[in-house]
Amino acid sequence: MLEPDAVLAKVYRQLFEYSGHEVRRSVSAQDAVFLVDELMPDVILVELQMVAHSGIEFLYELRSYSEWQHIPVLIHSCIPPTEFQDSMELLTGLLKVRAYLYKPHTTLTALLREVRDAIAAGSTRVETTASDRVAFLNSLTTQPSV
Amino acid sequence: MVSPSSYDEKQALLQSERLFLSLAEQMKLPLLQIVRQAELGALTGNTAEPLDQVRTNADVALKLVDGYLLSMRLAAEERSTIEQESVSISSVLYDTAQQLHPIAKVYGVELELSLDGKYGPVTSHREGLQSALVSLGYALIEALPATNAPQMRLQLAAHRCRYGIVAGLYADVDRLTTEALRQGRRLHGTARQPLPALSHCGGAGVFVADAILRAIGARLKVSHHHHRSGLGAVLQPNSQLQLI
Repeated sequence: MLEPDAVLAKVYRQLFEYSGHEVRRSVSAQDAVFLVDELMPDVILVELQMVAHSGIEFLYELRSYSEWQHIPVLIHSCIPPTEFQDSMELLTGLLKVRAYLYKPHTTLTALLREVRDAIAAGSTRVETTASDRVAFLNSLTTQPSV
Repeated sequence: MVSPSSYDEKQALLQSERLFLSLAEQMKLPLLQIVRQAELGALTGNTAEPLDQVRTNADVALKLVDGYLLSMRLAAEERSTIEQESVSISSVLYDTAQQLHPIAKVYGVELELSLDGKYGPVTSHREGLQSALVSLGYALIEALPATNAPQMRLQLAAHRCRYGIVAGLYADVDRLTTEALRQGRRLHGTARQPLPALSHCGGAGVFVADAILRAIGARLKVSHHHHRSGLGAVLQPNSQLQLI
């Protein structure tokens, strides 16, 4: 779980542990890569707004390793998905994001269901091209507005 | 041609709109925390612990709104009519630490009050100064656990600088620079994360503090104290009382 807010992280951790899952949390993209290497998790939850490196940068790093292509990723963010409207195909394609969950609209029950579905479904494999990658990078050059 | 007063009014309006947007974005965090804590309590049947945290998070949200409203009220007043008084920095820092203690506990941040050194009173608007420091404190307490800082410790301290006396909050973070603050001032209200080197969220507490301090004739600046970086209010010593 890549979750920068300590209070929300505690809530989500309690939820998952109560439901029988084991949770490891990271607050930085770099630490998250080390954690993935150490644990090979069944599913990764990613907040996009992080200090220093964003969640998107983590996803690029994650998907650059062939052995981590199959790990399901759920974006669970305070940024509304409408801000990624133009890049959603690339998120689900190139970065193999299974679902985009907007935090204010995602109840704990819904989050738990998504996590369970992701674990059950295993991986989603979508082939992408280099031009997709360039287009997505270009779409990230402007900061999302409030 | 736009007259100077009309230009100033437009700038003030723009600033207040941007501060409002920044605050609105920031308010999502405590509200989200409250709703999820309540939901967790209902799911697990354990309502005692979440209830305590809900209270604290709601209190943070209310104080931040209060700080914003105070900044608007002070900004609307003529600078000359804002009552400046002799203020003891030690007492303001002590009260700030008291107010920040519950939320620091929730975030696992240790507060350290450093009142060594004698600075005498400063001339300021006590309510404004207090509110600004509390808003700053909220922003830094939220931000600190997300930065991988080696120590989860926030120090409230005062020290002399060449511009006067700085009362501020300091932590073991190396990314807090004058340039980062300058960029944040440019971006707040238009970018979702105006202080990306410091905070994962809107950091509205920093901008509310900035607005309050500006309105009371003080300044917010990046400052360093005992090898720690932080944000502080630059204040002027009360020279009349020091003579006595």
